[in-house]
Amino acid sequence: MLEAVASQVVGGLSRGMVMFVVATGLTLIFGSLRIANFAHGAIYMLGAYVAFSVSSQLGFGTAAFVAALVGAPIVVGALGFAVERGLLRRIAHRSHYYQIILTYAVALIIADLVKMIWGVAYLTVPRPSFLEGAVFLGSIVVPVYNLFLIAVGLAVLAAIHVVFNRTRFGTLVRASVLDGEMLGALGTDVRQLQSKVFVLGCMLAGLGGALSAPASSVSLGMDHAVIIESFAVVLIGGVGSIVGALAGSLIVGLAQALGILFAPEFAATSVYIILALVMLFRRNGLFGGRVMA
Amino acid sequence: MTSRFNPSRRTVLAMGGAGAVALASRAWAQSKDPIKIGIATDLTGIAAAYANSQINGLRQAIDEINAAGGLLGREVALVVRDSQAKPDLGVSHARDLITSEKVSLLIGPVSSGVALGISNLAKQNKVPVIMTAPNTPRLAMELFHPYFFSVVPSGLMESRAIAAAIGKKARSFGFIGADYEASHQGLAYFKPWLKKVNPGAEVTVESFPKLGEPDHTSYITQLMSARPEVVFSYLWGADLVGFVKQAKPYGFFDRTIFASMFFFDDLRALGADMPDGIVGQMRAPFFALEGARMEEFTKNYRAKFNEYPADWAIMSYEAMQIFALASTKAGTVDSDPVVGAIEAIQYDGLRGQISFRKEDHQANVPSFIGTSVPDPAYPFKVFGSMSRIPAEEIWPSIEEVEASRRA
Repeated sequence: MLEAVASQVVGGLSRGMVMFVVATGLTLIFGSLRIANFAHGAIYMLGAYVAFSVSSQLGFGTAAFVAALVGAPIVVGALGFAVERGLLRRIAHRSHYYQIILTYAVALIIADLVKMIWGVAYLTVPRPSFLEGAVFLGSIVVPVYNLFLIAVGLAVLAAIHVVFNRTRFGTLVRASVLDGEMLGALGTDVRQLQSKVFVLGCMLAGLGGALSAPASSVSLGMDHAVIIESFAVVLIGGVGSIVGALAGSLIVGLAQALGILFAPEFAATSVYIILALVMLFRRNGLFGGRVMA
Repeated sequence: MTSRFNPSRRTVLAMGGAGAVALASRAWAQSKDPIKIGIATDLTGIAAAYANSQINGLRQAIDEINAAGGLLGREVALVVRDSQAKPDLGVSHARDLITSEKVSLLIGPVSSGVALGISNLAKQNKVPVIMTAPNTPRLAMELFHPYFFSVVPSGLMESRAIAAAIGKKARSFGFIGADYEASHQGLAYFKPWLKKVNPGAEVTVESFPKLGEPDHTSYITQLMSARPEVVFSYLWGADLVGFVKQAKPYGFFDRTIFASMFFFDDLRALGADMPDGIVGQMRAPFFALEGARMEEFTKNYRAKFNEYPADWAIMSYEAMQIFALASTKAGTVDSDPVVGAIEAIQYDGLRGQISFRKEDHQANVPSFIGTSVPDPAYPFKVFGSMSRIPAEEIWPSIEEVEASRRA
């Protein structure tokens, strides 16, 4: 029994860490730009497709895998830049409803572009040889790729921690999440800052997509599951809160993994049950108002 | 004919004869209206790849028919609409195909949900419809009508076929399928047949991830904790591909016999990632079908579409040829004589001799079951030593069919 629980915990952690990478991008955009970015899932999907193209062009080796992990965030980051400058900024002064509808339109456009470029067949990216197979942790089997996902999630967390605590950019982003108007009044170009946050958020979504490509299949519609879960994680953790995104991702990942073992009929809905409970008792989420711990 | 192309209605009118064939046939194409075949299928959404193959299969058949002088001296034209996997949209497109385009035959979509609506419409308008992908048993059982035909083994037949093939291999069975109606049904059909094949066998663990689940890891460890000897899977498409990739490093396929429906699309996507020794059930595996006609079909199909034919293409090709043969026999494309001719047909198809049972218009098509192996001829794994489970051994008895209609 203990082994079964341990296996579920490892599975839940690796799932949670990928969710964290994607949801952090979403919560930063949400917190800083005050936009519910419905295109986030589509950008994640685009990251996976770009990772496929980069890997297949380079022949699916280890180098190709690394190139895909680096290349996908850059490509979708560039797209994010174009969307922010070309579309979002033009309606920044309008009501938030317009922005929500606009990001939804962007999601549909990206999905159609993906279909036009890559076609409708589902694709796969093989795992690089050094991440194939599994290792024994005690007596439980853990696929190496799952450990890798956990490691990348931790690395992203560490990088964000350093940027947000040690750099001027990070300090300003935190300030913009807490009170963007005040920051503007103090003389900071908030628009410029928000533009960078949007690109950073998109890059994190792209990285999430590139990480999941070798883990699963690359297919149209892979954005749906991710966008809904990411929003749930953002709301559970508190809008704009990175520590909240981490807590939310891990809670959701673990609740689902353990739920599958102990109460399978509730496993798929566990994320919404948690969301409902959090909304009932802590409307601003677990870490609302706190960007970092 | 190009003047009928009307992109504003999201309509794609595909001429049966492309290129040289169309030019050669211009003389008679102008003298008589073409016979139109309509398909409203799920070109957008998770089944889009299958819908594309359906259309390619139909095109292949129609091109051959037109090259041989058409049908009853008339050209055959295909009219394609995108139902986007939405039942209401599928029905309105199909209605328009019947009333505006005056199609002589409807080919069903991919999604069973859309198919239920389109079948009902075919019934009301007395237009024959042939299903080449959706396979909910309800279509041929309680919702049956004389204008409905299916060249796909129903979900009931497939669950029984796999129970027949693997039931004796073990005592403890696991199940995994996406959490939606078809998989719950699939398990419900599997269990009694398993008991029939092997009274001591038991399904000891059931797993229902959500449709479109990106990470099956926790379901894999759940299944493995229960240590079933065989896992019967109702996963398909991107879900199945993700599951196989995620289960492989756990040694899942070394410890467990994994038996699942596979579409050719899955084998192509997985490539070398597909483990050996998986028990696969297929509807129309081009690599295992024998005969000169199958070889020629694959050759022509690859030349035209630059890919191997998926199950959907083969079944759709056969459906079109069945309609052509039946109308030739009937000497007309009018619904009632054509329906009578299809009922009596003996079609020498790519999957073998095909005829339809009078009571439910289900084609007597087999289930193909084999074990995954590499094949140097292809860049993907295939299923070797495939056996055919004949429809007659597994389809619902006439009593079962009638009982479903009384309920």
